[in-house]
Amino acid sequence: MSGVSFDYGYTLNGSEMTIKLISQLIINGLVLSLTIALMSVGMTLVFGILRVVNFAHGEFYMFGAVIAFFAMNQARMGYVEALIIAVTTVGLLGWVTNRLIFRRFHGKLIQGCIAAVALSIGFQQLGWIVFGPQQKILTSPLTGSVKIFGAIVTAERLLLICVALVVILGLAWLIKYTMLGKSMRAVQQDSEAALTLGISVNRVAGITFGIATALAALAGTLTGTIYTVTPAMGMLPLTFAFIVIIVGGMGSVMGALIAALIIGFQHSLTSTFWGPQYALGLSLGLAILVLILRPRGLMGND
Amino acid sequence: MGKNVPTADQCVNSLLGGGQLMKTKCFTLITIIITLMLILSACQPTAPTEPPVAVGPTQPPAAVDPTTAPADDMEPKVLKVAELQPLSGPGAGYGGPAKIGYTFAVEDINAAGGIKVGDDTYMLEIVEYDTQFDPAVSATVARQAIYEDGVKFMVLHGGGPEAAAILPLVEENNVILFSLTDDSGYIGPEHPSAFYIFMYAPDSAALQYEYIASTYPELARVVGTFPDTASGQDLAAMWAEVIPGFGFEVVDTIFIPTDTTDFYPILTPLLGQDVDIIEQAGFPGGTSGAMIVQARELGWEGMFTEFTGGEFEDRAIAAGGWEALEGMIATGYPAVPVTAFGETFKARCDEVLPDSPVWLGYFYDQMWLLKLAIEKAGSIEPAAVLQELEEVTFSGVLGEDVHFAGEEIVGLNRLFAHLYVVSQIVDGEKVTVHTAAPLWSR
Repeated sequence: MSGVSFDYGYTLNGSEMTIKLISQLIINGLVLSLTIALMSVGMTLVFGILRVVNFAHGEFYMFGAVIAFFAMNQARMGYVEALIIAVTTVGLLGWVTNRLIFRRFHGKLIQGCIAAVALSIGFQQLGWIVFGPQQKILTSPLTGSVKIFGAIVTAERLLLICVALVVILGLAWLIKYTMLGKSMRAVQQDSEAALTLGISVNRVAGITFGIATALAALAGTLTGTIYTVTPAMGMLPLTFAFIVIIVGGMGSVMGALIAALIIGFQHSLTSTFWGPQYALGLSLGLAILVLILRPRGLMGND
Repeated sequence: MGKNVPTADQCVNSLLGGGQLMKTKCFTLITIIITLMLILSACQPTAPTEPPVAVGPTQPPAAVDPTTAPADDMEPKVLKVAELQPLSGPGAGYGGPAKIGYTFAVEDINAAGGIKVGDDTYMLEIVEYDTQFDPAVSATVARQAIYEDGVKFMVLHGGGPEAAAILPLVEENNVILFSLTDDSGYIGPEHPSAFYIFMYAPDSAALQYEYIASTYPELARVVGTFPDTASGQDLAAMWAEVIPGFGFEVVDTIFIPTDTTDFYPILTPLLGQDVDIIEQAGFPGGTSGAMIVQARELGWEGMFTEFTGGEFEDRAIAAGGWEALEGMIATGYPAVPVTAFGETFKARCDEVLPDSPVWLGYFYDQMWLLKLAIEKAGSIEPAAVLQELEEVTFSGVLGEDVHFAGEEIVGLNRLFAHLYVVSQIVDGEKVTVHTAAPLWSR
């Protein structure tokens, strides 16, 4: 054992901060930001269109990873097949959940919150029973890492960055340019007026819920190869998602993406330079500041 | 509701002057309800009318044979022991497996004839309570255990905040508490009914760094990572005091929230600081494993250590294999069994939980010490048992001579004395590289 043999080329507490450190900090922030963004865009869509604060969103994130884990370890599927199964199953589960439970609470904020909290507790308990308490990891189909300006990026992190960027930008395009997206925006702006124009509000709500939960499952399955999988894994991303929605503005996909980048980088940099114990507190502080100074968030509607 | 069924209001109205038919129906209904209530109350189990008779001290069994059948035909009584543990929430990784240890202990003790107290025989029964690793919930379930279920012996799987929450209740009601909190605030002359049933961290830290200093003299700079909890703060303070005595320099102490999954931002600054060792005390194995694998991804090649336990399996699972753990040192309870009985016990546990941790032995051995102490006291009254818990010894999973000791350290014999072990991963295998008795008994 010979101590550190890896020369990173900088001394953090001194004046020497090379490009390697800056690159690594950017990569660290980007990975966290995009994970949060995948969670947040779904939640913000659900709130914007259904007026439901889905406290169970973290559990859909967990379900994605857990289903992929069982698909890979019990059904012996490959990672890509497991990911498709997990995302599809959780998307359908989201649609069914909306149909059976949340449809009754569209626009009823308090009742919807209570239903979502109950569902979150129930889903997490189900996770403990089915998955058990032991932390596990999804086996990645990719190995190795690349260096970007000296920063180390593992293949799994690179995959997450690429997939998340494509999916989020794709979603923004879908909402802006497709008929479904226009229907979603119409329902978001005025569901009764949308109804009079022949838009099936229930159908749009169901699809929205399905897309949101599928995105959460995608995030869970992608991060399951980087971090660990446990029934409680959705709690922290859910907290981040709430902060991001407050900062970005309820119902805005681009607002969620921008806020996720702000919060992700803030959290990452605080952990690096100040200490991880202060990072979440500072994120919450930012959210409070936004609530005071700009209650509708960066890009939210009044 | 059917059209002919009277509502409560209708019943009342009719009784106060309604029709005769309605009155008859209501009286019939009330009579049936009262009769049913009487029958049900007669079926309720009644509490024992006489308390167990305390008799004089008895000799401890010369040898414990868990396969011995009950010797007498008398109807055994039940002695409840409360197990307060996190079965859900972030601490469930501890609580779930711990059940295996005490479940086997109870099975073996009951199969060996239970606990003999004079002419009475008690069968042990575990009553489980989920603390969710939350002090407030811990206090609630402790209250339930004491006041509703009448337990006199309690095991708490939790840290300082949980212990602080339940200690006043325990002491007020003369309950004996076995806990995993070794802080001097909870163990010692001011809290005589509290016993500590895990390894003593300061001893474990000293033993570990003594070993590393002698075996790897080139390693000097250490970063400590600890959970951002009250227990983590306590561990860090103790660790920072202990290791300079063995020639190590504390480069940094980092407190990490327990739900952290991405360690890159935390590990990045360490890479430029010539760190030889990263200490990972107090984390669940999965968290620690994730941290190790991410540090290796970043190219860090130093040594990982943990002085709060010798568990590797959870780390290996979370790290995706044993390779990432190569060279890691963990100190405290054994990573592999140190006695023949321990090997048998681990094989049994492995059938329930593959690669089960050896620390399950703490809960097994502790339960046997309790049985022996009750039998020696000849009473199930905590005041009598308390004295004898300091005297009994047991040859079990964690050594040939497991007992409570440590008066020199905490003022009373309340620490769990067993063999301490330094384990290391060498070529993907768990190897015991050093063993020693606790410092106080050297």
